[in-house]
Amino acid sequence: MIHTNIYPDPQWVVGKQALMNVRAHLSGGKTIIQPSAWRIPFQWQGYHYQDHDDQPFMLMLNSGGGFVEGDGSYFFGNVEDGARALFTTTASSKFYKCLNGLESTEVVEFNVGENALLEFLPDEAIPFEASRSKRSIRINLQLSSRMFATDIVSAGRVHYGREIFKFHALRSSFEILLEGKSLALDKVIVKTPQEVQDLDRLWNGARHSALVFAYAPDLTKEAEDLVRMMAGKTEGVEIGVSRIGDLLTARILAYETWQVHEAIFGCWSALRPAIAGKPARPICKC
Amino acid sequence: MTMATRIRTSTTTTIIIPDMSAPSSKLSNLNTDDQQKTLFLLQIANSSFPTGAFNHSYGFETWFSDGTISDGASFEVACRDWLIYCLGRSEGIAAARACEMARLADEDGLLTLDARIGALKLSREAREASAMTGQALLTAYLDVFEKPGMEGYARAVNSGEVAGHHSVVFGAICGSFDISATDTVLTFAQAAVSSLAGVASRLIPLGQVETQRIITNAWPLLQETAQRAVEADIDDMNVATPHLDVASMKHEKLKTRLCIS
Repeated sequence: MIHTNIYPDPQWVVGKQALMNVRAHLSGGKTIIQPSAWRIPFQWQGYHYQDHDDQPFMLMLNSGGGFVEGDGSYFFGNVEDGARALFTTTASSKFYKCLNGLESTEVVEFNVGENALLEFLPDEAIPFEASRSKRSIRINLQLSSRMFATDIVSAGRVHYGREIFKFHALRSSFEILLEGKSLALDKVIVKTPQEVQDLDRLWNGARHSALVFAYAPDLTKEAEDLVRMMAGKTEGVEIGVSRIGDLLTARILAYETWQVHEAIFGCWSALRPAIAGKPARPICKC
Repeated sequence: MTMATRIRTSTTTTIIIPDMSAPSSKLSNLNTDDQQKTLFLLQIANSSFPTGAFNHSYGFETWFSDGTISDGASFEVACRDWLIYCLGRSEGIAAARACEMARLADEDGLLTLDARIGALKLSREAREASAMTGQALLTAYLDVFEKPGMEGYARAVNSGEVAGHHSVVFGAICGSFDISATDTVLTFAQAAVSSLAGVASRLIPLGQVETQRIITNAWPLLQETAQRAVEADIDDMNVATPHLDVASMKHEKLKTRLCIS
């Protein structure tokens, strides 16, 4: 079940567990976003209209840094019927070392209403050396919802002393539900040094693994080919595209961070006109 | 003196099979009931049982085609990765759980499990292949064997409420035959590896003996896979092979294809 409104657990330690509940809803012909509950270190920072239309853009993360051992962040978004909203992050999610066996947790959940649009384009998650991260993204759609959502996991701080696949454990899941039923689930669990090391081979030497899920009840037959063409323009990227019903999935493997972002932008460029009725444009975060 | 058979499985590995018939070669190690279970497993896992599983490469055909896999050595590495990081931790667990659910007549559990294993298959061909072979296995099982149980699950598959994924159907019918979860996963995984090795032998230079050695090399891994699967829960099901996802998705557009997936 996807929750729409969560309140702080009384057991949470102040400063260790962040919470943000927001609702995006129509008001005066445009979508507005309102926080219904939050807890530090998440702060309500507002939003803006980057496309100069009815759709707000919201930066999700606090600017205070990453996750240390035992930290948890919980973000719940409710995009109500007919609303349109884009959520992104200020920067990558950094998971720092966990030397006492605890995990760092990041949870993102969205409910998307009838005829509502969710665009979710977070930056990459970077599991540092000795980190233990537990990540979960769940998006619940209605039949008439529209969605473009991505997830990127990096091998580590790739250009920092070649810190590649040095984390201790990773649990990561990205799930799309349709009216509460699981439509697609990308889930990986690695928890031994051998399993972590083997990712190098399982990713075919890539340093970033990304997944794109796109859903609309009226995607054209040509959507897959368009994604292959637009995302495939980025050199050095491996991409697979598949479609099951109204859900289109693209798996991307890239060596450099800019390559994976460019390939995702290619997917967005191919699909945004059909999903959101407007072209993709680079997201401005400052 | 106890005799033993040595099988050279590769240049580095030797499996020693103890001579179990030492006291009397005429006595079976299995009682009559276990013999029937063995015969059942041999029959449903055999390539002549009409499931069509041998037509699927699970995305490997893309790698055979683009040269990623070109010989026995490269196939063996990829096959073992697939067994550990894809099949074992997704369908292996599903088969084990389905077996237990069928034993407990937990029809709702089977429906949930079927949906979950389907959701984990991100490429269209992988999902369709799993459903296609599962439905064929269920149909053949119901036609051939007169065993009560799992009527609700069978109805849900036939009505399209759930897809009837191969691992879940396999586990469920084994459970309804009172076969242990460990033996279920062991048989399911061995049949899958054997089937994939058969596909490989048709598409790359891989002799019959080398093919069988690769399958034999996988024995310890198959045992480990079964052990892990029976100890795991549905929430442990995951897939850690994104490069194979890409290959499976690319297979949809492969110009020359001998396999369905």
